[in-house]
Amino acid sequence: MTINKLFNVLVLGGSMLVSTNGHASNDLTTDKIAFCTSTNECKEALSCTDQGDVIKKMVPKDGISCCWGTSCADLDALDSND
Amino acid sequence: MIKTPQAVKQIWANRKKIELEAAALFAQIAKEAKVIWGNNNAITDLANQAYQDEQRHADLCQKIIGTKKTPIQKLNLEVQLGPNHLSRVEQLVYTSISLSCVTETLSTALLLEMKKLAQPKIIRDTVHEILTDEIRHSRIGWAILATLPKNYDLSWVSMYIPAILNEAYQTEVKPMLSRNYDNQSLEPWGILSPKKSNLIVAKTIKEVIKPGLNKFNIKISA
Ligand SMILES: [Fe+2]
Ligand SMILES: [Fe+2]
Repeated sequence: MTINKLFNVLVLGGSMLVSTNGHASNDLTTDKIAFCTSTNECKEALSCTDQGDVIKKMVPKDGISCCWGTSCADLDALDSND
Repeated sequence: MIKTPQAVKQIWANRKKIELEAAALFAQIAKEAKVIWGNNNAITDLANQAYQDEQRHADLCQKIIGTKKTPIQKLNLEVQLGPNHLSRVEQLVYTSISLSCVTETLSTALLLEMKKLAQPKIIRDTVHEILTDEIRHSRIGWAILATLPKNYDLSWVSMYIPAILNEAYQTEVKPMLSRNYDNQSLEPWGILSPKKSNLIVAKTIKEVIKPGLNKFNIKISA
């Protein structure tokens, strides 16, 4: 777990706590899921940015996406498959 | 069994005081959130849980300090939330940013490093337990910002951020650092050197707190 992942885990994870479908996980020890929410909501929260290391990926599963720090390239690939 | 150095006990005693202050602030946040958002709001539940957690953290610190527990002083829950001239909602926002978005976020980052270095079991277990809770405590602040109506203008907070960051450093980070002691030797006891902790604080402000606040239209010039 590195500091740059804390943006996802804390800032976005916190926002998810009060979103209707959000579920924030506490797992900081690995690259596992930072939080899961509806795919649309996840997409809105996690549009890939150029903000340094703020990078994330979405994996859709039954309308739910789980998001964690990985790479912008993965997200771009996922978007192009839509 | 290794004897806990006196300097270590002193620093964990500082932490105990900080934990109890945080408990009082979370209790106030829970109360205010109930007034503002009514019964059954997620923030009150989360803040009440944090209030309990912080008291447990103080007990964990006491175990490291080791001496007989001093009689429990009654927690003063009537703490002031933010500057006087702010409105009720503004005071809640100010306190959430100061306590959760800034202090608890910095604490999470510092505990991650402490966790890597901690050696005696009591320190490892304590750091792990506090870290798990601090993640939730930091999220409360970001959750409060996300709860505000989309058109609520948070730009007024920007002018307070330098003071909030400075206050967090002076009162929450600094008392937990090694001073004239042999820096390296205290790291296994969960005490970081000023140099290492300054690097972590700067990186966390730059990569987490600043973009986090920017997301809610609060600018910081750090
Ligand atoms: Fe704590
Ligand atoms: Fe905390």
